[in-house]
Amino acid sequence: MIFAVDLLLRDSIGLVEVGIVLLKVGVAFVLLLLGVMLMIWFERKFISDMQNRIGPNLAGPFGIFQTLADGIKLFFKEDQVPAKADPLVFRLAPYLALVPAFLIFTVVPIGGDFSGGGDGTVTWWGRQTFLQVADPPIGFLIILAMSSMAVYGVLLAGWASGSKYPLFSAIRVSAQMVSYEVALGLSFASVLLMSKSFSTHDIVLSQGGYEWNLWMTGLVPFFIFLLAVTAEMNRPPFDLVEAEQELVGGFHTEYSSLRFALFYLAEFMNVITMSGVIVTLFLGGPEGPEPFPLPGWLWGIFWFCLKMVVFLAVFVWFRATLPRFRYDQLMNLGWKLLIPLSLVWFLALATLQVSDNRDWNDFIVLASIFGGFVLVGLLLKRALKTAAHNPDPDLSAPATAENNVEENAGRNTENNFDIENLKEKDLGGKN
Amino acid sequence: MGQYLPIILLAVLAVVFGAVSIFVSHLLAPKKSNPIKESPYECGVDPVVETPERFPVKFFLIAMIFIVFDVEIIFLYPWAVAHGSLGVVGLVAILIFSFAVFESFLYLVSKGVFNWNSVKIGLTSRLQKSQAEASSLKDSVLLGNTKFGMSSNGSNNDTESIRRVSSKDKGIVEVAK
Repeated sequence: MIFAVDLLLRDSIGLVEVGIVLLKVGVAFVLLLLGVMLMIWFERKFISDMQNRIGPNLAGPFGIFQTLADGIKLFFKEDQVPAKADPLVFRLAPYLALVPAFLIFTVVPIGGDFSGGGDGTVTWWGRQTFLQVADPPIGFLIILAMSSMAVYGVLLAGWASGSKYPLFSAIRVSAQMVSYEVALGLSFASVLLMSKSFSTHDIVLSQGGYEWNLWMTGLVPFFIFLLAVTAEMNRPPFDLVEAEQELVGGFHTEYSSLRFALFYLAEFMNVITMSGVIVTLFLGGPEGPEPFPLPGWLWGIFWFCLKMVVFLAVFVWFRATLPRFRYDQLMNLGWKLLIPLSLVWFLALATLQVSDNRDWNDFIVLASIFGGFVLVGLLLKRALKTAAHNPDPDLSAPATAENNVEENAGRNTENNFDIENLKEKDLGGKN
Repeated sequence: MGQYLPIILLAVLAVVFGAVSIFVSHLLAPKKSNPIKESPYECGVDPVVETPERFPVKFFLIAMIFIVFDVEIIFLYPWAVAHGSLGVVGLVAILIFSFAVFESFLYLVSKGVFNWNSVKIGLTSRLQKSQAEASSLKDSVLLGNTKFGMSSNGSNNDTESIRRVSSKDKGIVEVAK
């Protein structure tokens, strides 16, 4: 089961196999670029509707070619490399952002024949294959690896620009992405526990049609994943990377012309691929009911696109509705709530899974899991209280003039204490 | 190895796409550079301060803590996939392991590593308080300006500017009365 691989490439590779691979790669490439074009248009149009504006409406019907027009315009813009920039890294960074965005999509199953309990294989020219670009046995890890690679694009772009705002943005966002990477990885682990396989195709199959493992992964890990992925993509309300009121344009302030376009492309491509990943991991991928007879693979593609569009709309909705987080709120949410919660949920799920195979008393198992939650909550509360009482001088923000510190010392602890107390209440409630 | 063929192909295609479009743009775009265009972006003003090369150690600390958790995740994944055959022994082992990591996490939390607002809170809340005391919107705008002035003054003058703020604050309150 662990080494379930795409049947197409299992044996020797001939001309037909290479042809199919080329077709898949070509289609995925075109689909992604078209998807980005439509996504940018959709976002602008959707937000303008929410804000009672018209939005782009001149280029093509409903302004649908607006993105294309913007892209063509960028071809004719001057490509500037700042004098203080590190020229090599400055030129390398856009690729580091773009390539991972493409590669995550390779392991997302975008369709398949699931009719009559099928496992999603389709037959093309006498070869059996899955409707995804590739299905390596570690497809799951490729998603994680590529989303980590995206940090390098942002970090190096900001660092190599040799300018203040990009540098601030890059440091800020690398800490943010790295923090939420942990929550992302831990909520991934809960999915792995259910699927028992790294292959994305097996993960879809393990969700068993319409159940989607709703009670196990559909509640806590799903929402943690949704939050973490929004932070990973630097989408609002986690878009501190380009908080334009304080950082001008964020890490790509110094970029112009096509290099800027590549960053923009990567950003929206990430939105599309990550929506696809959410659908794959938590919502049964391309599986769905078939109300009337059509070719099975068509239904697969239909359900996948429908589920994905819902998430695309949700991300735009986030942007239209939610104000941006403050940096300390962002870090508190990531480290003090999402990481402990996802870790504890994973361990609880693991205990349930192991007890399922044995004749353990359900009541005792559930009670000990509940006890574990309470224990972790209490320990965390205690730790937060200690932190509020003893702010470590080495680790806190740099001290200003001595008088100032003395004058404010009492006040500080008081205020910190109050704020931490509020957070503790929140935490206690949720745990 | 054949399984990775499509991924490598798409990676090559992505790189080629980026390179070709940058090359085409290079052919089409004007090249009229000058020193002012090439200087770092500073909202149109000549850069006064050099781009900082050092940044607060807290960010570095976050990166190091991330490695600890990433290593934990690396150990959790294989266990999650193979937990069926490892049974109770595996579960107990992973519980002990997770508790050990969680314990170090608790230590970090109680040390205040994840608190991002220790000293600044004192300053801002003081200002907020005086803003609340100031009766009209105009007064609070005044105070807001003082706050910006203070932050640009640099750390040595902070005490003085706070005193200035508080004396001004009293004055405003009196005027308001």
